[in-house]
Amino acid sequence: MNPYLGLDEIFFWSSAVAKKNMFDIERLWDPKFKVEKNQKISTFGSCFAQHIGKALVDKGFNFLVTEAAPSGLTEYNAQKLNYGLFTARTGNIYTISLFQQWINWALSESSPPDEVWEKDNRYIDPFRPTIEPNGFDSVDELYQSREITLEAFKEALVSSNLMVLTLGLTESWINDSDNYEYPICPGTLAGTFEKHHKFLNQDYTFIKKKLTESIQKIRDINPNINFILTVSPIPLTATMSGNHILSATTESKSILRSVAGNISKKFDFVDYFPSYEIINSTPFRGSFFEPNQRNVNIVGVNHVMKIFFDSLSKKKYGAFEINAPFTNAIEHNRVCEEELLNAFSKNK
Amino acid sequence: MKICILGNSHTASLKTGWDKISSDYPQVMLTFFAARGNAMSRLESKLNMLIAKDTELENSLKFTSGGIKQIDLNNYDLFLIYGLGFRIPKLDKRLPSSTLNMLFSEINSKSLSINLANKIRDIVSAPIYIGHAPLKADENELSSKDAMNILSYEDVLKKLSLSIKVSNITLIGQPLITRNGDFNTKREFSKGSTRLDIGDKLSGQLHPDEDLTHMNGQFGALWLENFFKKVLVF
Repeated sequence: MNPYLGLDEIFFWSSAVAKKNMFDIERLWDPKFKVEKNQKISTFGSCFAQHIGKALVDKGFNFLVTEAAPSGLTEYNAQKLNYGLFTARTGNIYTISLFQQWINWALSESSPPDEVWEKDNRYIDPFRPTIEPNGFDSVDELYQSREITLEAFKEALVSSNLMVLTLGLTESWINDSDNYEYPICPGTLAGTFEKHHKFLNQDYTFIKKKLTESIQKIRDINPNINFILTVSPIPLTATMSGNHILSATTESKSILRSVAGNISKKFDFVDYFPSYEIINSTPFRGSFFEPNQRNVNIVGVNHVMKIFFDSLSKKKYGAFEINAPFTNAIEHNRVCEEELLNAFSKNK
Repeated sequence: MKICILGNSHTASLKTGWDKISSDYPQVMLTFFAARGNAMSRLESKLNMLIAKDTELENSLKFTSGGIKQIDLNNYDLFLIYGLGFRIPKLDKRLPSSTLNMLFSEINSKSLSINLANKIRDIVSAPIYIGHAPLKADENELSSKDAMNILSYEDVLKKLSLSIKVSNITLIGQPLITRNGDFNTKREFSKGSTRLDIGDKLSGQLHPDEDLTHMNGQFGALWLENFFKKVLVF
């Protein structure tokens, strides 16, 4: 007699993985809470998170968009202007500390700094560097546009029923003089790299603290909100850690995965969805990556989303919805500043 | 003065309004050419005329005009294009100019009203006026906080007007007396609105009470009176 006897087959590698075709590996996620189609679901996070909003719309869920494109703009141009990628037009939020920074600005606990990057007579928002494809006409326009986003971000915090947060990176760049964080290293896309720009490879304790604080702050103003955490499966484009990119990626993702796992166990209202495992684990043999072994292909995105929605359906109905096959390829061009770092590689 | 009005279902309110006030304007002759939905997109230019590509549209034109199947543009002193999906968007004044320019460019390129205006302008040089689809009826006004960040109706109209590339064209706004705040029509004007009369079984039927987009004859009369103030020289 021992505690392993009688355990469900999903708790054994042999039965759950080794003896299965990779597409038959199932029950990867048992959602903590039901998600109703009328619930307002917001998404924020790194590049991979952009797929989630589109998938929510595709499956008839209520993807909350608090910063909608101006009425009359076509979908093509709205997408070009980065509307609808996330709930508000924050652009990619790669780290939890950046997420916390947005929360503090939105709740007026601190103010965004005046810093603006100039490039080719246009103005770039250092905190949303690709949000306007050609930059802003003026600094005033930049600030006003960001003001709209901060209002929309606050609206998302206040009115979401569920927030899906994708954790992307541990590596970050800080303005050490004034203590604020950039989503991308100054001087890469725009801006000038200066000596007060410091690299910080965030560790487990730091990220866990930031995530706990962020979640609790949101719950203070929205007491019934639930969270689903997920870790982006996309490897780093570049690393300042001093380690090989493979090691740096593994360490980064491991830390994020550990934090997400810990926080999801700590709070009833936080769940973890294993998109990282689905894309990266050995049973899937890397087949969900493009030839560059970094970008996730459409099959991978679709498989992740299928598991996400099938699991939610099973939670709600006790079975998979027969009449709700996941529709084909969400062909959608992700906007990913982090990929631009590759431009600085000597060997492309 | 001979005025040609081209429009969609929203033209019904102008027609009903004209029936109330026409005796006050003996110097004006209005000819309506209207069809529901986007049917007017099936007009094509031929010599000096606009002609329906299909019988359904042709019948609609014939009925609404009182017997005229083809629109001879040389017969009119000016043109009013009304409704046809041309809407005034509510815009945050903090939006970047590049976004606004992109939006206005799209409105121009995709608008049936502008498309028709271009067809008319290719043939005649008479003035063309565009009246946008009525603002949605709503009893509520924007909160002062929201209103603070929204471009005023007049400003949007001005910016849209500047973006239109067709020569000698004027965007006509909805009269202030019909509006509730900047972007809504007073609720009273959407009550009792009727379907465009094109001679079919739906013609003249009341729109459901919850239809907040079609306006009644009282609205149409006020709209036309405002329009005549701008175009008629007394």
